[in-house]
Amino acid sequence: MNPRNIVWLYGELPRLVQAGVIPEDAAERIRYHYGPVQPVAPARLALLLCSVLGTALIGGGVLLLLAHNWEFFGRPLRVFLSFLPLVTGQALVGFTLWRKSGSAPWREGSSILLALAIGASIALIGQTYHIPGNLANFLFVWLLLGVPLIYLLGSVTATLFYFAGMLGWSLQAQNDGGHALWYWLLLAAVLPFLGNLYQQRRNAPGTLLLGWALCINLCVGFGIVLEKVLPGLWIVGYAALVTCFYLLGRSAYQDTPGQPFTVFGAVGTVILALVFTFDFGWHEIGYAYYRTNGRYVEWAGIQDYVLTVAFLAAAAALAVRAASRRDYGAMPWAVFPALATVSYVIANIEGGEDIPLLIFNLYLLVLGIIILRSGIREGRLKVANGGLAALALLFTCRFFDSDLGFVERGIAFIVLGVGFLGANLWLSRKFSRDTKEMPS
Amino acid sequence: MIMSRWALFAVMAVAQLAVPFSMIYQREQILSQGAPYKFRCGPVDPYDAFRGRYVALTLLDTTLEHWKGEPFNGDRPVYALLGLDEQGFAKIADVRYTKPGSGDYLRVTAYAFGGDDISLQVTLPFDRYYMDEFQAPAAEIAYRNEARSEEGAHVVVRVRKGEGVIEGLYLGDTPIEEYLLQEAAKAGESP
Repeated sequence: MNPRNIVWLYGELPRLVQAGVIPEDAAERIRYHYGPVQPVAPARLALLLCSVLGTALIGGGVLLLLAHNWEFFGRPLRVFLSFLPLVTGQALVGFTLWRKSGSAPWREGSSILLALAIGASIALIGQTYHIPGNLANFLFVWLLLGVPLIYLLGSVTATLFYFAGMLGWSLQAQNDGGHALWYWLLLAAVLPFLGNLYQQRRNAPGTLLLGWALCINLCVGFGIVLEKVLPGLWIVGYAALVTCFYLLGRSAYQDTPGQPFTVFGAVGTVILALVFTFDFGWHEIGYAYYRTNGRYVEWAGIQDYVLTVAFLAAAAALAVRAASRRDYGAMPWAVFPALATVSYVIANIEGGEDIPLLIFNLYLLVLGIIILRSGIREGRLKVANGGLAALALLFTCRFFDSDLGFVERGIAFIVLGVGFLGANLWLSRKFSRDTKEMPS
Repeated sequence: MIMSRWALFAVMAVAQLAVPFSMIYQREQILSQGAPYKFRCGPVDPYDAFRGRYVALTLLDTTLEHWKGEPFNGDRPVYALLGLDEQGFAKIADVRYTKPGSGDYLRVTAYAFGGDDISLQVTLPFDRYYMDEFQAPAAEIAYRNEARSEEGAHVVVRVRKGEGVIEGLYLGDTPIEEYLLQEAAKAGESP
């Protein structure tokens, strides 16, 4: 259980005992069961953030001072100064390993300084010898040299920096007319670290933050890295990806509030389903529109197929696992990639482009109702609101699509808004009434 | 566990030092042992946020007209054999898929274009000369003025085994750094 939840529970126990809800010995057994807990103090978090920001600013300032006087230095001195940030960063990391390995501010601060110094060193040498520009290669080498640092210090900041660098590299590589297949190698390089964090400190704030970063990275990176030689395949790929997120969060992070996977999965599914209710995504897709101009690397397009199948297989495996655990509440989400695949096939058939619109309008309607019902049944206002929001979005978008006039649309929006607020009010009252009526 | 951490640190440190060291070593070899070639050029001046301020170089004499050789399409590196013109400036004598057995050459990309009369556009591996960020704009202005003159601007490149390193950028026969100092001194002396 999340430490914050345990602290809250411990705070509630005396009140529950006093109100006669639970006996004193039950409270003691609960305390014994969860044991002592030390939540992250806000002051320590502030120190950590200051450490990271401070070292990054110091490093940046030193480089700017060097840059200002650069033209006065001869080549030998420039070469020496090019190594200086790197050696300094390495010395700091070495000292942290030796004396301060238990200190999070030292680990995070020294790792970000060395991470920046790697790039600065290569860039300074590039300037010294007027090396021609190849931003993608520069970023790639920088990333590779930073991987050991992540494992050495277990640095969250360095990993976040690495994630950002992965996206930057893949964007530049695609922009240069090449491919970004190495994105998956770069991701694979840090997966053992992330897996280890999950096993050892699943609910730690740093682990959850990296979970969010991973989801964002995959959502954005997948789109950049796809070669897109087969138009529309992203529909199936992304549907499978968000379903994997959702099912993974539901199975591996069920009891952890603030975990990213279920949020990304659920929100991603609703947004994608909504996008799929518009016709612009279903025209000119499929093999008939296969892309072969110079910007597309055809052999790299094989990656698109491999990834789509891999994500579909992963989603299917997670769905089977959910069914085997009788988690039938996951099934409405698990069918999403199957619907996307069927719709993609149908849209390839001449005259079939409008059928997916019907499929996803129905799907989103049903999904919204299921989410709303689930929220009401479980007494979770946020979930119920999520269902209402999904339905409201769907209705709103359909009204934008329609040929209704301003007056009709205005009335419809008012009715929707009143309905939304009214439902919310009713739900809030229902939940608080249900809570009061619980037997003592 | 502790030993493996220090082993990982050592491997990391060596790898991180090896990359810049190999960059330096390779280029110092070229600068000390490479043959010097003068390439005519004209200027532009963008800003590269990642790697500092530089004068972007547009090298001249890189289009070979009436090309009768291979129909290069820029999909992989090729080799440009270098020679000298009547004024002693570098020229591209030939372009091949394979490394020449003798003579100085550079690894380049080449793209053939045109209908009946094909030309070959060669892209040389030098596109920038790094300068102090406050001097680079002044350098561009100096370029624009000098480019119209007979002497013009050129870079001296040391070439060795297909690679080249820029040794200096010259306006006429004067290194650009010296030229800018002279201009600054003249501006200081004028009433």
